[in-house]
Amino acid sequence: MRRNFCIVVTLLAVAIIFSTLSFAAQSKDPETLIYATIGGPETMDPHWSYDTASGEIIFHTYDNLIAYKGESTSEFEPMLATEVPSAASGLIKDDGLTYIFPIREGVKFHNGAVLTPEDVAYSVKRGLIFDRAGGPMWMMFEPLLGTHSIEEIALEVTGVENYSDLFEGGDPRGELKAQYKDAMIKVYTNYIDKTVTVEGNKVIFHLAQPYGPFLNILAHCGSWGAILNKDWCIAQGDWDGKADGWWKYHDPENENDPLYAVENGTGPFVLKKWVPEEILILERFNEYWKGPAKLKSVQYYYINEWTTRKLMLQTGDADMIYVPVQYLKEVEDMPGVRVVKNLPTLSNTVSMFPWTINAEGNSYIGSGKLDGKGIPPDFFSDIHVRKGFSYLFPYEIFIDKIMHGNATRVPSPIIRGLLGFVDDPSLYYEFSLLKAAEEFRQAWNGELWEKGCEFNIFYNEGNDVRKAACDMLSTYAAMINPKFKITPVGVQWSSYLKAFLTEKLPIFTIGWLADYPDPHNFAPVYMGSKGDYSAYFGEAYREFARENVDPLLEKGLKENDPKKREAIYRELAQIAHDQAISLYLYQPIGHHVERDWVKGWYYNPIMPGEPAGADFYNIYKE
Amino acid sequence: MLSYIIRRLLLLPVILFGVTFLIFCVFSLLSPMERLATYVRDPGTLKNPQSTARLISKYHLDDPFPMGYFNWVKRLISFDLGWSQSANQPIGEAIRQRFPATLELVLYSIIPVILVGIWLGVISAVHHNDMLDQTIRVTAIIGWSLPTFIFGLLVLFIFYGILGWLPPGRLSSWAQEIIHTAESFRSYTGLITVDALLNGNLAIFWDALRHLIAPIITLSYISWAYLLRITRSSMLETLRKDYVRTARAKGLEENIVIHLHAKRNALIPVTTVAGMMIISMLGGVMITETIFNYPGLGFWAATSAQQLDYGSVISFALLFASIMVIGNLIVDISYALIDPRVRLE
Repeated sequence: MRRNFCIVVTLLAVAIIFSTLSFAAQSKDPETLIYATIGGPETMDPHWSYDTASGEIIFHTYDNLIAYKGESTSEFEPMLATEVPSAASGLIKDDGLTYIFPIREGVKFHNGAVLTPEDVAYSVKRGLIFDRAGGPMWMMFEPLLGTHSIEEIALEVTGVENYSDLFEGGDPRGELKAQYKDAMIKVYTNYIDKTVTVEGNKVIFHLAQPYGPFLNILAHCGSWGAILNKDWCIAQGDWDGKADGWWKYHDPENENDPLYAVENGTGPFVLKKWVPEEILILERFNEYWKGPAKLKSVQYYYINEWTTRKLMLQTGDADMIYVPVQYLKEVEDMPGVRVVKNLPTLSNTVSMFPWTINAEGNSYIGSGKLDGKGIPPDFFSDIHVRKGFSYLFPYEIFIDKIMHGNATRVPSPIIRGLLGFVDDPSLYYEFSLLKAAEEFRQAWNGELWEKGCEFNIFYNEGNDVRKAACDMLSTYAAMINPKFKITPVGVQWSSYLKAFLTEKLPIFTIGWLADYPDPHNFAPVYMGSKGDYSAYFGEAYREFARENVDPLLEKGLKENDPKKREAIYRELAQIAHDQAISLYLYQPIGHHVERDWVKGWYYNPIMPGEPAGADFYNIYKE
Repeated sequence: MLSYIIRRLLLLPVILFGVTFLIFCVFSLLSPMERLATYVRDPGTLKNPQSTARLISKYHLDDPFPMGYFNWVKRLISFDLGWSQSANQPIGEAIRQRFPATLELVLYSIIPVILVGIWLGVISAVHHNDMLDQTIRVTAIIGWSLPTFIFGLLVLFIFYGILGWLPPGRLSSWAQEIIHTAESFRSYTGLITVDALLNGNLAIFWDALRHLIAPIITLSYISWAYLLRITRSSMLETLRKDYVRTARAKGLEENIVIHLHAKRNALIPVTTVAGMMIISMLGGVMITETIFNYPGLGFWAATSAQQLDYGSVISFALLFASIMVIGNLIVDISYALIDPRVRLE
């Protein structure tokens, strides 16, 4: 009995070792690339997608009208259009209100259908009516219709107060009330339908206002500009292209989105299999209009555990992996592994001071008075307070010690790589406890220095970088004046978001990742009266911004001359500095890690998933 | 017996109601804006000025507690569990996709747990206090006290990082490609080893097994160590019983005394513990699955909890509570079958 047991165990061990040896070679298939990363895509629908992981897959499966030229974020090349519109070629006219795109012929979708100009027009209009809450389509609405969503237009045309009031039982997924049907049809015919027209082989965009970054918005890398196949979409149960009933296809739940898990683009890869949060397989599209990719297959593995990803890279089971900055040292000296460093990303992290804090039921500001036990709600409306904090932060030390050198300083919301970026030393606040103390002494007529202050500053739990930033501010504040009691508090993301949206956070730190490489995607966010972050700085700031910032933002948006635009954004950078609107902590520097047999990688910071990922059309293995 | 089973099954909805109600109560402590965080990973995605209000209304985040719970139960009855933000797919689909993976892992882990745990427990008791007993006990104590995440990482590092034998995940990339894309491979059960055999594909069978070994070692070491201790104590107690002494006095061989007289009786309490252990393993595989990137229910449950994906957490709790109740019933019934002295009526 014991002998038999031993024989069975030995056979099993031999079988395992044999299988290990025979399969190890297969995993290094020269035509298959394995990419181990974190967090899988939310969707395959280009008009739903607003997360990097979905954008990365859509980048490889769909094409847009134009694309960025290689590593450039400002030069374009034709993609599904045969020409990049310009004023010189006459394809941008009417003072930037009309853009004309001649469409490439003979391009095939993955299902074999041939691309037509109607497909392009349908794609744009489908995106506009789809317009999901929290989605990316606001970017198309702004230039084409001068609004942010189709619901805004529906409210204007129908005259109701809430979009849900248009529907029986107040449920937008229910039946439309009969009395609003004609008005809702007009929303399409008078607005959406007029945004894009087809003339022969040309697709013409009609803008509501001149819009400097319009080509950036349409370019490949933005899933919202992807071109779909109209007939295929309709066959999937999607919008039929008609005015009557468009509202049934507006803002669906993810599970009711016909394009949630399927694709039919013209891109170099076809989606073969997607098991959410587990694996995604792309297969080469042999009829790609630029010629087939060198790789036959690309497999994404979604692996949250760092050790597992690292071991996969080490054993060669993964060709490319995502490496968080704190683990970079672990792979730098790994044999057979290439690490590309110092890649500037199009993102930044900023600590912001709301000029007026919502004091209602707000325990974060202590007594709510300048009595040494709290701060008044308008604490940061005093420029000396903001300047004091601007001098208080040890920018270089922070980048060196906390970011391990993987970041760089920027003086304003307009970061490196964008038009209007200024590396003027006079725009940077230096770390100086003396100057900080000097500013704080002047703040609130000297009362602040004398009485001191007490309040909380926040970071979202688990974000160690933001925690370190808060700790530094707190420590140096206490160092210059022991009466300055600033307590860093880590809260769950949900509580952080709630406090942010209700304008209760005294200082909050948050980041921004570019949607498209243009200063208009950054400056309004941090400085505009309606900015995604600055709109939560309280009424005092909004008033300031309406008067001093918004006119410049408007001018920058509508200006077509790059030189003039540059000057406008420089002026905004100067305001950001002079008013010490926020602490511009850093612009992260990224890195890319791959096995040395991977060739053809290049970096374009606006490409979704870069720098960890890649444009797999150009990649091959040796 | 039948009326006992019916009575127990009738209790199931009451227990499930209690479990889901409590979880729902916990989530209702969060404000609509806090629950919105599940849908908003970055406030930057709220670029449309109406987005916050639209999202709250779209996902009924401001429904009062009774309405929210009622709507959820209503959807549950129509087998619509909602959408999992953490899995990026419908919850029902997420469970259907992940359950076979966890089941396969647990089923294979049971074998070493039962065999090794009971076998070593008996040996340890029979060789009470001698060198063998001490060695087994020390091994068990190490297993019992070692945190799963440490032991798991150790196994991963040695058997994958150094030796390259036992890779993480559920399958190698070439096998993934076959099972996900080849039309010739059919999924019958979702248990890859079984499906591979049914498809006659031994290469995939071995590959799946190779990926299972490391998580099985991790999961079973801690469990068999516990079972060993229970078996050992029960066996020691049984060996001191009068009927064992009588059996020995009758001149029966020691093997017969131990295996036929003592072991059978000693295993009765062990059966209960082992049964419950197997059931709780189904819900307790979170750490093991996370370390080995094994795409099962535990991995998903851990991610859902981290992301405050309350729809998924509630569904997981519901599933686990159902398994616990039904599993408990099976254990009770098997207890009566093993020990004729036990009557359930």
